[in-house]
Amino acid sequence: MRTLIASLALLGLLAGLSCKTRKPKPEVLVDDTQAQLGSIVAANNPQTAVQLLRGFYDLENGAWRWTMPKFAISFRPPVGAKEKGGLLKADLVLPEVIFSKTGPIEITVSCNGKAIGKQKIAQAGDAKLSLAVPGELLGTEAVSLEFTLDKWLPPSAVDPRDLGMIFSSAGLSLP
Amino acid sequence: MNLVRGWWWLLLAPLFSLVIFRESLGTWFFKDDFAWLGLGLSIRDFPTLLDALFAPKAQGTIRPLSDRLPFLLGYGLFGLDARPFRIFIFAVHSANLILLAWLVFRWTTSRVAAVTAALIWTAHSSIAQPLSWNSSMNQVLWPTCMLAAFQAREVGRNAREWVFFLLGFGVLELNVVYPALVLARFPERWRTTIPLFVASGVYTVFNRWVTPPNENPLYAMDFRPASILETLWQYLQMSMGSFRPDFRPELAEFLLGCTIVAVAGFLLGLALERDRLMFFGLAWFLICLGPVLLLRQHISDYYLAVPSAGLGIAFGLSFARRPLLLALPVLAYLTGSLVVSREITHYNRHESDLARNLVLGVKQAVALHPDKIILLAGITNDQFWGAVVDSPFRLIPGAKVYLVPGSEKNIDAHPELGDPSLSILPAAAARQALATNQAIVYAAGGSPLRNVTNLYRGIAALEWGDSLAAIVDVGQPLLASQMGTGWENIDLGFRWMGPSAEITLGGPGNEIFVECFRAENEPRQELVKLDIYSGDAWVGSFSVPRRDRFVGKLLLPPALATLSRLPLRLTVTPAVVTPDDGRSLGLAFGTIGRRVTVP
Repeated sequence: MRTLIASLALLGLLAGLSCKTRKPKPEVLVDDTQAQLGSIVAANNPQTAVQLLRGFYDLENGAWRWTMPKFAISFRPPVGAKEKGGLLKADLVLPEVIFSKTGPIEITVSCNGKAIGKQKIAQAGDAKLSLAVPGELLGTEAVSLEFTLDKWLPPSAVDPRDLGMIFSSAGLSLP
Repeated sequence: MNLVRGWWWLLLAPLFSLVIFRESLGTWFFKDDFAWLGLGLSIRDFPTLLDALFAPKAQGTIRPLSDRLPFLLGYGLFGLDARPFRIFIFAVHSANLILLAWLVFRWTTSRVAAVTAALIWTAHSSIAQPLSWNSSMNQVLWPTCMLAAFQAREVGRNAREWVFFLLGFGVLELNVVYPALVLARFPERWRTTIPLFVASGVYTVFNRWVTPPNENPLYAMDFRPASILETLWQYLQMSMGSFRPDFRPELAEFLLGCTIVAVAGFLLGLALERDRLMFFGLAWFLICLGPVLLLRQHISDYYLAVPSAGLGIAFGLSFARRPLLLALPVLAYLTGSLVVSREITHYNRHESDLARNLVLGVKQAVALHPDKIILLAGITNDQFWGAVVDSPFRLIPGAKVYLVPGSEKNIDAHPELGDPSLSILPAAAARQALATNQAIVYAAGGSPLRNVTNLYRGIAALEWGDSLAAIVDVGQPLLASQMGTGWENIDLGFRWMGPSAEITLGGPGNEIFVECFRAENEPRQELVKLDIYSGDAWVGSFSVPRRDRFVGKLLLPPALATLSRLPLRLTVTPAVVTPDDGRSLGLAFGTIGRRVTVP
């Protein structure tokens, strides 16, 4: 029993030293009260993460996120978009692992509930989505762009999630 | 110094463990940890203390010494500091390794066998989960009881053996197998195991008597031999610590190779030596695993944490006898198992970091904005199922924390685990809270949390619309705008209605449900009638008995089920007149709401 107690005392000391944090504690709160909605939203930008309204999974590798079959992003329309209209661009990836199961995927986009167009992603790899957004839909302080995929990878033994595409960034600019 | 010089080798396995699991020393709380940490919040007096310690919880388990007491004491003494938990669990696991090595040395007089047994045990990937998740510490505390009882038996301390044996029942129900282990090790002393078997039998009967019937299909027991064998086969495949179903497909071939080499080597060693202690090690594995073989729907790697000590005993001795033959299999075992261990530890650390950033961020937000509602936007699937579902924010005094409306769309449905909608503030209430500056919105999807209240107003206007709440807790002020005439002021989280009161519910929803209260000593008759009207049309009624809480539901006519705004009038007969001020009252209400159900 003396052996056990002596051993545990030594190990306790070592464990205590290992537990001691040498790095400063990370900041847990930031006051972003002056922040504005952005016109460009990146998957890994913490300042615009709140604009990823729904349909996104956690950030992976600090760079990208899987989407669900439906996902939505809010944007601040750029100045003048009400008159000139807007251009939605999104950087997506259709991974081979999805494409081999689904084939080409069609993305339907709506703005504040009104359909603005479709685009077909015909091959695996990087996919640039580009669609014009009518100016009459861009007269508000914020707009919501909803993306709907016609095909996706359903849950499987390997991954229990509905997987759509990989999202990197999207932006709303003047045409 | 002589003590250290003589027994230094006992520290090898704990030191090895400290090195390979060092990442888990920094693990914080996550998942069920928050439920157990909150156990103390319900304690008001001695009966509620007893309830917290001994009432069946979580699939009807009663584990006062593992799930309950450590969390009660740990949270009571150290709050949300997880380091004391980590040190405690590591210290206990180290004690386990020392006890196992001591026993094997006593049985074999071989230091190599003893150290290898402990090393093989701690390297098993099933140990990673208990060492990196506080809620599974029962898998660390249980072997302490068994090994200490064995050690006491070895040195002839019967009373001490009984103390540790009986303590084991307070740690984990699986402790009932201890007599079988003793019998397997000392068959010639079978008479001495009879009282132990009796104690296990009495405990089993008592446990089955006091615990409610299991309703969770995951924990349903399947006694069919074919099912048991199938489950055993699953565990045998995982027995070398390398193979786990669905684990990193790209490593599957490598891990399968490790498993095959390890199994082949160990079986060869067993066949060549045919030592009784080796067979005892295998018996330990099977006996400790035995009870969980009935849980066909709940095959879990950490159920191998204690059985794998038997593998350590068997193959530690095997390696000591034939080191050259067993060197490659042991290396394959260690390599494969440690790859999996590292992955599990890393995953748990990541989950706990997510929870730590969220909960400590909210704690700071509550301190910055006392009395405000904290609305969390952007909560991810992992954050919800790794923390929010187990109500961590109740551990922060004064916290009123909700997810923003629509958050459920980022969260996978797992009805067997919980309902995200219970954590979400209804859109109408959130709108009201934001408009009246009663709420602060934090973006919580990453770290650190960001106060985005102003930014979020635009999103709220877009996303929350002008829909009404389908469920109204009339005891809360935020949805008062949906309540018409006939309601009294809020009183201790409830709200009395007069003889008649109006409320408007959002929708759609084909079922109405009500939650109301009557004191058992109120002067009215046993049943009072609550009628519900929509306009002049009678929708239905409830007979509300004289008891503390009444919950009732009724189906709406199809024409009303689709309405997005459903004005209702509630009338109660007879009303009751308060003796103090002569007010005429109907019922005290908690919640009234609509939902969609399948008739």
